[in-house]
Amino acid sequence: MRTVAGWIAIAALLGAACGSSESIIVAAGTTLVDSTFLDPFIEKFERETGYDVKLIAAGSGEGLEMGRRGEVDVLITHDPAGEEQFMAEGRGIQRYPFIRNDFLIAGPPGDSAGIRGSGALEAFRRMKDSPFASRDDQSGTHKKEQALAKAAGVELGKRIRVGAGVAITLRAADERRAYILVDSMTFSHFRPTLDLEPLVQGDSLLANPYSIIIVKPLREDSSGANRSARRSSGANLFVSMLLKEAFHR
Amino acid sequence: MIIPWDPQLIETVLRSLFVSGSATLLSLLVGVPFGAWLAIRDFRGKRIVVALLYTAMGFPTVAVGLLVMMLLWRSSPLGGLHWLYTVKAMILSQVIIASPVAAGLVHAAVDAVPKRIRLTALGLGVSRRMADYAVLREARIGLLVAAMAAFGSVISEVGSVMMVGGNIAGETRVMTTAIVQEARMGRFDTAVALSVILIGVSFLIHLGLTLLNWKKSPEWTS
Repeated sequence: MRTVAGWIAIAALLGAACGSSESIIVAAGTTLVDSTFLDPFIEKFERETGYDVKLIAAGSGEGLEMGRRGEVDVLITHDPAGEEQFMAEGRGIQRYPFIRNDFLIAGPPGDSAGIRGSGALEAFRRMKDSPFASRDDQSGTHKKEQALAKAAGVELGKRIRVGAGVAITLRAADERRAYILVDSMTFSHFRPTLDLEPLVQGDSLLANPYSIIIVKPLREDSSGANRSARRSSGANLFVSMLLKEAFHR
Repeated sequence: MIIPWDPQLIETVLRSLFVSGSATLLSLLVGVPFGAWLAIRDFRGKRIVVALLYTAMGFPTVAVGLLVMMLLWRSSPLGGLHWLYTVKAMILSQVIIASPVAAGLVHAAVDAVPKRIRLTALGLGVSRRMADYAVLREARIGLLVAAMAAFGSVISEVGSVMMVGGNIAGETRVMTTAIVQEARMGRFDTAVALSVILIGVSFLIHLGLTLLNWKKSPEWTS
C-alpha cells in the first residue's frame, strides 16, 4: 500500500511540474517582496484558482520597463509620475490605487542638521550640506528623493549614491551617520539593527501610494493568442481578488 | 548599442582593475608560498587540508561578502576600522576569494613537477631553498595560470563587492555592481554594453599575461 501511495504522490508531483497550470508574472517593488507582505495572499490565490504566480522583485523603474516589454502581467509599483506616463503610453489596461506605505526621513540620533519634527521640504533644505544616503537606482524611493529635493529647491550636496538596494543603503546611512529617506515598513523592520531614528514623518508630502497595473499583453502570434487570453483573465482575477483582500483588512 | 563613454565609466573600469588587481597580487603573496609548501612538504592530514583548499576555491562569493560585512560593521570587533563600504573592504573580501584559487592551482602545478627534480637538485648539494626554487621554475606556467585564474575569479564576481562595497557612485562602484544596477533599473542596453566592456578589458589583460609568458619562455628554458 505504501508503495502505491508513493507512486501516486510521485505521479501527482510530475503532473503538477509539467502540468497545465497557467502562470501569471507579477513584478512588485522590492519592499513588498522582501517584507513577504504579499505571500499569504499569493498562496491563497494559487490554492483557490489553480494559477501559478511568479512574483519578481523589481524597483518601480525596472518593473515599468519590464511592463513596456510585455514581460509581466501585473505591476505593483510606487512611482505615481512613472505610472501615469506608463498609462499614457497605452501600456496598461487599468490602474488601481493599492496600499499606502508612507515615507519617513531617518537619521543619526545626534541630528546635526536639526531636522527633527520639521516638514519634509524644510528638512531637505536643512540637510543640504549633510550626508544623505541615496538609493540612486530609479526605484520609487529614489524618485521620491528627487521629487522632494526639487520641490524644496535644493540640491543635496553630500549625497552618498549607494545603488545596492534598501537594506545596504540603510546600513550605509548607519555607518556614515547620514540621513535617509525610507518607507516606514522597511524602516521598522530594520530599526533594531540600526542606530538611526525616525526624525520627520507624517507630512502629506511623504505619502507613498502603491498602484496595481494590469499590463496590456503585447501582440502575439496566433499560437500564443489563446495563452495570452488565459493569462490576462488570470491577471484580472488576481488584481480583483488582491484589491478585495487589501480593502477588507 | 549605446556605450556610455563618460568619465564615470572610465573611473569605474579603473576602480575594478585596481580592486581586483590589488586583491590578486595580495592573494598571490599568500597563495604561492602556501600552495607550493603544501605540494612539497608531507605531513599527517595533508589530504584533508588539500580537500579543504579545493572546497575553498569554489566558495560562494556572497558568503564571503556576508562574512566580511559582519566582521566590519560598526558593532563588530573590527568596526573601529571604518572599512565597510570602502574599497579596502572590497579588496579584503576579494583576497579571501582569490587566495584559495591561487593556492589550489599553485599546489596542483607544483605537485605535477616530477619529484626527482627536487631530489636531483638536493643531490647536487644545493640548499633546500635553491631546490624549492628549481621546482617552482619547473611549475612556472602553472603559476601564471594560477595568477590569471585568481584575477578572473575576482574581476568577475559581484556578490561580495556589492555587499561590502555597497556600489556607491564615485567610491565603491565597480563594473560588475554597475551592471547589476543598470539591469535592475531596466536599462538593459547599458548593462549589456558594460558587460561587453568588462569582458573586453578582462581579455586584454589575460592576452597580455599570456604574451608575457611566451616572450619569456625561450630565455627560461635555456
